[in-house]
Amino acid sequence: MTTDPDSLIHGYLDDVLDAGQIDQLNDWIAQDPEHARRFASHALVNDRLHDRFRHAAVLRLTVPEAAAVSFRTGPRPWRRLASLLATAAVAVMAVLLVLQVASSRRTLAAQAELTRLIEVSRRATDRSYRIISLNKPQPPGRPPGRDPARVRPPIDGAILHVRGGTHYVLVRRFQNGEAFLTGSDGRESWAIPPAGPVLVSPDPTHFRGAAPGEKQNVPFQIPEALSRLRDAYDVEIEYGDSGRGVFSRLVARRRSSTERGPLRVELWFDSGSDVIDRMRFEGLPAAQGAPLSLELQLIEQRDLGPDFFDHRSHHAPDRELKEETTP
Amino acid sequence: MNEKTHEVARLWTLAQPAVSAFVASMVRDIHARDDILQNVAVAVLDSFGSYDPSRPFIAWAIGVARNQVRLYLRRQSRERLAFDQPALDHLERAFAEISSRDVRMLDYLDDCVASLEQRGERLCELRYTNDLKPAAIAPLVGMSPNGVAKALQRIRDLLRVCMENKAALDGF
Repeated sequence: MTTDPDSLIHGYLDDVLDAGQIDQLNDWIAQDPEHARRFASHALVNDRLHDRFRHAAVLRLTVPEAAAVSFRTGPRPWRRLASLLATAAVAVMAVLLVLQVASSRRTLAAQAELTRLIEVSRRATDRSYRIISLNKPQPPGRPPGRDPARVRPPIDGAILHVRGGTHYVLVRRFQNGEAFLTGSDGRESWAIPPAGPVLVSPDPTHFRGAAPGEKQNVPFQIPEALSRLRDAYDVEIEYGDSGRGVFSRLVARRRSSTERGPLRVELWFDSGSDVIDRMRFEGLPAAQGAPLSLELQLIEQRDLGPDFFDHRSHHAPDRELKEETTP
Repeated sequence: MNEKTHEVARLWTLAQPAVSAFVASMVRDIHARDDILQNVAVAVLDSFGSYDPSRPFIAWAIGVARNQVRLYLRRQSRERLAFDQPALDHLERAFAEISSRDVRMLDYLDDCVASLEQRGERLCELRYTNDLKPAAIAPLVGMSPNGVAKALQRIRDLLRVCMENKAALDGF
């Protein structure tokens, strides 16, 4: 061994070893259980030093009298105080552990359920949702003079079809009933206005920006949306009763104002199948006006067939195609 | 608090120093250690019904901690543990066998820290209160990173000897 074992141990605890030295340390520990005991002994002291200094910093803020005791000339008073604090701390820790555990258990249960919902949403059969805007109705129709291919109908009343985490078709309608479709088959994305060419992009995410909330980090790719909840939101759960048709409810609140995305998300789901029946997104930032709030309601689950997410399933075969290149 | 919870709390309080040191040595980030330790506490409470009282509690809790460490690293998309399975097996056993004497000896840490020279205490403040590594500490104290690392090693060795001497004087 090119470096002595104790230097390797201390270097590891201070995170200054390179990969080769870590391998040396690993091999040395694996050689003999006594080496592992020596490592554990050093690690125990190192870990206690972390706690000792962090707690002392807290005590300096909360117990100024204790901080004034001379360390070097009167160890006994400090030892008695430290002993009392340690004893009290252990008792308090035991109680706090129980309380913390109870609260942590709910948070962990919610996180675990969210993980299951994400996995199921990736694997589930095709699903169709109706989108309801919870805001005041937006005026539909086309402003005069604008390119019809660039005008989007409102999101209220739209139907969203999804498959896994990559395939979607969003169907929106103008007041006159004409449909505007956007979608992706995971390889390319497309937009089909009522008239004019079909726009196609090799970027499967290109037309996601057309929907409200998409630019604000809330895609309608459901597994991706749920994964963002796990990372940046505080999550709680209330269990329902699957056998009696009572849905469970998961509530996620955004932790930081600097994070993008809705302020609050609620999911209603069947805890037996982990299929989401309803999703509500509140406080989606809007380019203009008040924040958006949307609800997605499950309409049906059925296999939509192999070609549903290909744009060719939704327009006449001789319709002009135009590659979309603008960002 | 019912009897079961009381028993778990009692066993956990005794095991916590060893479990904490084990977790810290696996992740080497004090905040990650805190997060994982909280999860271990929850898992211990949740699965206490499956604990076999004929086995040492610390060994069982270390096993729970090992699983929580792996779960944490997987969630963080981090690289694997620094140690391979043979080393890990030895380490789990070593931490599980940390004696009550070793833990009681830590009671003398405050006294021993108090006997450090000012520079030593300053290095410890920077390392443990501020959670700085030697490279970050070096410019603050006018030393090289290697010098800081060596100094921290000497300080910890001094503290260990101090604690052992005090424990011996007190008869254990």
